[in-house]
Amino acid sequence: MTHIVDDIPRLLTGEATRDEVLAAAEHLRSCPDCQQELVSAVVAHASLSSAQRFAPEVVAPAHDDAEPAGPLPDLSDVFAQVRREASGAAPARRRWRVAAAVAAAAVVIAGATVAVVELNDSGSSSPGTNVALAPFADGTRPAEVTVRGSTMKVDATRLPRLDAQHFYEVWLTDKGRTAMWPLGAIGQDNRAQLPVPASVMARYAAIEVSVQRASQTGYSGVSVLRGTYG
Amino acid sequence: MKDVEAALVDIGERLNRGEPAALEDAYRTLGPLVMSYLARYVPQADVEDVLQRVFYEVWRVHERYDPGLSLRGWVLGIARKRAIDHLRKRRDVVVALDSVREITGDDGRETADRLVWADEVRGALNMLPELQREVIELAYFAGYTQAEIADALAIPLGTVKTRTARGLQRLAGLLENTRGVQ
Repeated sequence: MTHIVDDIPRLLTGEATRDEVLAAAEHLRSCPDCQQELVSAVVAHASLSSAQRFAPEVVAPAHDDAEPAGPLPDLSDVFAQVRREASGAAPARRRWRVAAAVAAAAVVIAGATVAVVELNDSGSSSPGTNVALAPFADGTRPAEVTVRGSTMKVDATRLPRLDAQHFYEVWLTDKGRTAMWPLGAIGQDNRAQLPVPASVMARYAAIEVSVQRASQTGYSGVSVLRGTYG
Repeated sequence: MKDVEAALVDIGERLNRGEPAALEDAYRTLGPLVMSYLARYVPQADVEDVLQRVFYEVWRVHERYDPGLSLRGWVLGIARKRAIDHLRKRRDVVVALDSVREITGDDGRETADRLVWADEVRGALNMLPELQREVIELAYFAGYTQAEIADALAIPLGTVKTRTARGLQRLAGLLENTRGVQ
């Protein structure tokens, strides 16, 4: 008895001929193995077909037929507020209005010095162990980074505030700056608390902070802080 | 190859514990899904505003999230409520009434379920070996027949059949496991 496992997809998509369908039906009625394969194929086929029919932008965002969803809006105001609330500050009764949130501050690429932690041999951080490093690019102003456990706290309050169209993003990079790992955005108060597993930090050697345009997800190429730890 | 399901479980557990960074991770992971849902009911100019309210609400009620349930479904449930609130407050009632009628009825719930399912399918596809994912995406998202896939990839038709069949089996296993866990 020849199984028909490899032909099941063609049966479901309508590519099989009439004779192939009838022969497959006859086989399936008496073959428990192929019946089980058919059940699994139906689950996958139905899932793919539903997704493509009702949510192509979700299941196939890169395909031409899928309407692009566009970049994610910047929610750094929300995240900054949440961090304040989590740290014990009273919740602010505010309304986030994107249109009303435009700040007057210009983007000033002031330079900086960054303080970073040293990692011990196990890859975990030594709390409070900071190292001041030379400014990166045109940087002149310092910031501080502290890692405790798997959390990185960034204090960049001495950096200039950015307008609503820009934000600071924290990255891990290797020594040659050939690979980058995004850690997260710094809030409009120029502070951030970001998750950073020790295993991830161990794969990189430096921390960078870049200036990003709102909704920009890839690296902008404009870093204002950098310090090596590895 | 990213295991989105494992990442969502981790995010959900950290969110339930009240870690602010988990909200940002949830936004990066589920933001596109929520935007897709909101864009179906909320006027485009208002989507970003409602999106902000949704994720702040996710944080505000994070203790109510049960890590044993689908984080996608829970977040889209909040999105549905916030979208309904928004539409009911809009002054241009002619537009709003149609949208409110759709989102408050079965259509709103079914659309949320469909989007959650589609996002699970995307996550499962990302877990497949590249060779299997490639033939499945060409078949289901580009509309290629198996013969056309064989021509496009310059591989035998039999190879396309085998990769597709194995890919579908694996995909079904991943999807059934996802639903079972959640």
